[in-house]
Amino acid sequence: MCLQLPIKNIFVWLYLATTAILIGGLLYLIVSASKSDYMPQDESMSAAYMPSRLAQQLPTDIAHSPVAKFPFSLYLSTANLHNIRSLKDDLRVLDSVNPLSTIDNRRILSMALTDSLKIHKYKSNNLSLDSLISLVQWASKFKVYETIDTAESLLYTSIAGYWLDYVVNENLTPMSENEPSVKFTYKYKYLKSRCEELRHNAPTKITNLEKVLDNLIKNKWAHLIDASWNETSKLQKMVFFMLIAITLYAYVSLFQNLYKRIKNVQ
Amino acid sequence: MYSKIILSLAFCASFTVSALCQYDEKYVETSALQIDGVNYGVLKMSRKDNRVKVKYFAAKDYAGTSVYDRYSKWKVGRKIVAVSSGTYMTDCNANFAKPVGICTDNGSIVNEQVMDNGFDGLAIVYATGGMAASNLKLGDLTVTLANGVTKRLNIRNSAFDKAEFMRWAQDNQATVFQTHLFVYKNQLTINQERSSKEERERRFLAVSIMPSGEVKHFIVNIKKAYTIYVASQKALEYLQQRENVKEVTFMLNLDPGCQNVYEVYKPDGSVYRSSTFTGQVSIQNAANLIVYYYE
Repeated sequence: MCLQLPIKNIFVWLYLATTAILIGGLLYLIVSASKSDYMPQDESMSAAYMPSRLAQQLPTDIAHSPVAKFPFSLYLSTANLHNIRSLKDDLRVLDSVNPLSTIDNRRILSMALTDSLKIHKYKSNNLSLDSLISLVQWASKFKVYETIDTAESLLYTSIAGYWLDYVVNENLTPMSENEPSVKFTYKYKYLKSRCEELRHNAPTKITNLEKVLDNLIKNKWAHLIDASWNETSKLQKMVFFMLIAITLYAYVSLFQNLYKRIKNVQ
Repeated sequence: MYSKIILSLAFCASFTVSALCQYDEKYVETSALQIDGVNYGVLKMSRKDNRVKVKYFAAKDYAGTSVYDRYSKWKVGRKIVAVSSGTYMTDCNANFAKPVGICTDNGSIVNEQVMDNGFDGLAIVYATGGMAASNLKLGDLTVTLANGVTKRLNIRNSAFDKAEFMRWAQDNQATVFQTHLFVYKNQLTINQERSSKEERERRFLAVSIMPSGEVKHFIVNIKKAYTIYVASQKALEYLQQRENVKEVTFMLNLDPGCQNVYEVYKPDGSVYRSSTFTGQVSIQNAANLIVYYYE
């Protein structure tokens, strides 16, 4: 004989509907994460060498006030940023016109390839993940040169450090706040891992829901309960206990009805 | 003759007692008190005579040795006063966690990323056991470079200055970490409107100068959930009004979140069990540690 479930109790339906919506929402979040793994081509630092034009660009009185008189915009419009020989030539030119202050020459070149380059090329902070990958590929070369050409390590460290700070602080971290689902894309994870490999840890914003799920998966019940208790308002606590009460009532009603049915059948 | 024997025995006894004591109570005090119904646990440590020192373990070492294992090996033969979690980490799991903000550990670079979202405190722990901090927003970090020149560095706004600072940290085997700075030179540096409204229990490390000129380190543990602004205000008020400090040189945040490690030792070497002097996470799960010890 077929046993019909007498689910007439509205609270039971409400509970089942809420559970279905939560599970559906979770599945949607998982499915909607992008899985594209296309990677931009590396614009290699072995791009063709071109002789430096810096000597023609510098004003004759640059030695008097090198930082103020350096033509940052003009330099960046013609500089070959992808060839380290060209950049070393630029440094030699600076040292020849301003031999008394070599540390200032390195500081000028650092400023050109960091703050000035950012204004020249990266005015907007809304870079795509592909652009960020290209930028990290370029900046990471200086990390290698830092260890090979130790005489200029300060210069290379400053350039690599600036751009990696930029990628993390002004792109990866805000992205994780404004668009939480981007954290689960392959390119974002690649960028984060690459930055961490280069010792630029990228803290990512974790939503409260993600924290709850993370604690549930790791069975950190004590921390979950403690944090939930401390960080929720009185209204949220009341709503929570009401939901618990409704759920318990729904189960009690369901089992009471089932018991009556079974008893009637017998 | 008997008086000589008694004197010798008394000398030996006092020597033995001091050798067995965790620390001299002249330099370390604890107080658990209630202010307006809220429990405060305050640990006060004097830096006078350089008896109480600081050590910071920033992260796992290159061999993958955990912070807890490094600490356990280091503490052998040392008298620990207190251990606490330090700055924020990227993950609650100590196996994967990395420090947030610029960080070096005995000159080894752990993280070169300078955080610019309110992590204005740069703490430097010296090999001698002292500690200093600078406000990155003001750019008043001063170091003596290898060429003997004392230079002011603005590591947040100048990439070249930051490179020079990292080289200085390596050359001097400095331990450096970045965290929230709530008070600097007696002034609250946190903005009420822009700060987080999240309420939780807080723990602060405040380095202060007393009216006598003595430098004291305070760890203030507030056992009630407040916003960061309110908690900072209350901690500053406590230090200025109840401890009568002349100047709170700086007050940093010690992470009481998922990395809530805190242990304080009594003079007899046992650990306080009261909630005002303990964290909720076992020290084995620490991703970084700040340690006060007595020598």
